[in-house]
Amino acid sequence: MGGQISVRGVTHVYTNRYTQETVLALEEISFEVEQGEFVCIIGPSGCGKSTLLYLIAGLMRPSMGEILVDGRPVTGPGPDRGMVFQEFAILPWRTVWRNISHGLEIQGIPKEKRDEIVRHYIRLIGLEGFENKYPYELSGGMKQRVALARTLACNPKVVLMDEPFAALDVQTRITLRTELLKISLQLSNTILFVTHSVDEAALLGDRVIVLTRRPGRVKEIVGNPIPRAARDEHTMENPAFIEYRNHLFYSVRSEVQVAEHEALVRG
Amino acid sequence: MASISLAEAIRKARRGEGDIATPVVGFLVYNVGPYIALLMIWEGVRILFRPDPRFLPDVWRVAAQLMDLLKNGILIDYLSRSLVRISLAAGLAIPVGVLIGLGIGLNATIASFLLPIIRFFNSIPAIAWLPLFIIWLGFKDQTIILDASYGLFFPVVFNTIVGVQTVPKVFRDAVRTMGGTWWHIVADVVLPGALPAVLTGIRTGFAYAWRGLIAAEMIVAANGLGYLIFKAQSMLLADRIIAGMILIGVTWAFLDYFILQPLEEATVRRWGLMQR
Repeated sequence: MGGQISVRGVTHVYTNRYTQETVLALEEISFEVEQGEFVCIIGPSGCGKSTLLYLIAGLMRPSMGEILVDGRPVTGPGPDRGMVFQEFAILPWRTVWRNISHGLEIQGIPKEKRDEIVRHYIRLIGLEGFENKYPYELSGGMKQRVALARTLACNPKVVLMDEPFAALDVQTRITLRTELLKISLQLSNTILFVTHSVDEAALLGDRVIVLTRRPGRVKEIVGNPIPRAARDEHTMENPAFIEYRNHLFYSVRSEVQVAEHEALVRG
Repeated sequence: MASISLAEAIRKARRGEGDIATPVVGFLVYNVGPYIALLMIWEGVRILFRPDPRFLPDVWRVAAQLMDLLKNGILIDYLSRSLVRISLAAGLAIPVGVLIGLGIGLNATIASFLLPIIRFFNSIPAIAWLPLFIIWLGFKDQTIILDASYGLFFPVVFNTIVGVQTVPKVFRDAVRTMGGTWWHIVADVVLPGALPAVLTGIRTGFAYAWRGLIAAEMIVAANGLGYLIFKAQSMLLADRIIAGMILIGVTWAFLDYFILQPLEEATVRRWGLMQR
């Protein structure tokens, strides 16, 4: 059996187009994610965590193994798996409103219904007053809000988030992560969130999957001691949370140190 | 330095740089100024070197010639004929060029087949085709239109290719994760994303189209701006030649100002893809 997302023995190999080098990015990855869960994936740079998300999105096909969503194997991208990208992937030629309604347009939802949904998410994500702005008029943080609203408006079963706050300044990042946490309590979507920030993963994830250095393997999966509804900005001061967060920090840190040592030895 | 009030500073900031008092003055300085400078150089050369007025007439003679052409109806007749021809050439070259550019930019097989052919023909000037076009189509408008569209076609194709290939891949990925089909990717991502480059292609191409048009009119037509200039040479009317040249330049400036620039304002500038 398994959860809503079932990743089974996924191994991914790719060839670097320029160096013609064959890279083993992911090796024998297996895990399950339950419906409605918020799961974070962390690991050192280059461990293949973004690749894993692209595989689940269906934007790439795994070399070996399979990925099931609701029991059905993933064969390509689909509206049941929405994605928020690290680069601001909202379209510059659409206003905030029309970016958010884009997925609904694609699905052929009638205008009246579409407008109602867009209005709802504009309020939920805090984009009131920005409806008619074009992306270039927005700050990075606002752009990612639009990207999140656009993804949620399609109401996908699974929301995949690929380091969505990585390009933002620290304060904006903290604001957005706290808001995402709050918003997620009102959502039933399953969220899979890739980040290289231990603090972000510890705060957001109901569980955190730690990947090893490349080739990425599942090192451990750790459950958050504090339930989501009880987590907020101040959870950072909770002793149980601090212990959990430090555990994650050293788990990733030791992988980084070994990777750096190996790179030195290799020259 | 005199201090200004905050309200005044805000007003200035809203106006832009704040160094030019009104839009009218700004328009005159930036749009009329360069032409006045050109006229002054022209008159300067005449005063300094005193050339035979049959070879280099003065500004007033050319202006009088323009007035004559306007009064006897030739100006309106020839200008409108040239404009109709260039419009038809654009109507032919732009859609075909954009379509072929899209095909090459999106599909590697189409690219490997068509690119060498396109590069080959791009190296042949439109004027070199003119004798063949005359044999095929005769001394007709079609020949002129085809020759003008030939020069416009290639810059549109090459710029469309660049435009398609420089649209960030993440935009396509985003549309695919929303369930978008190939058609959605083309219509919602590739076409608008390629538009700035397509507009550049049209701008560059129009210059070639004009050249093709004027050259073809010289040889093929019995009217149009090219014919006006060519015919004037046989009558040693330097003032009429210069008047024709001014008409060509001013017409292009108008086309750019009233068609291409508003199109740019409404799209790529509106979207923040092009900064002043």
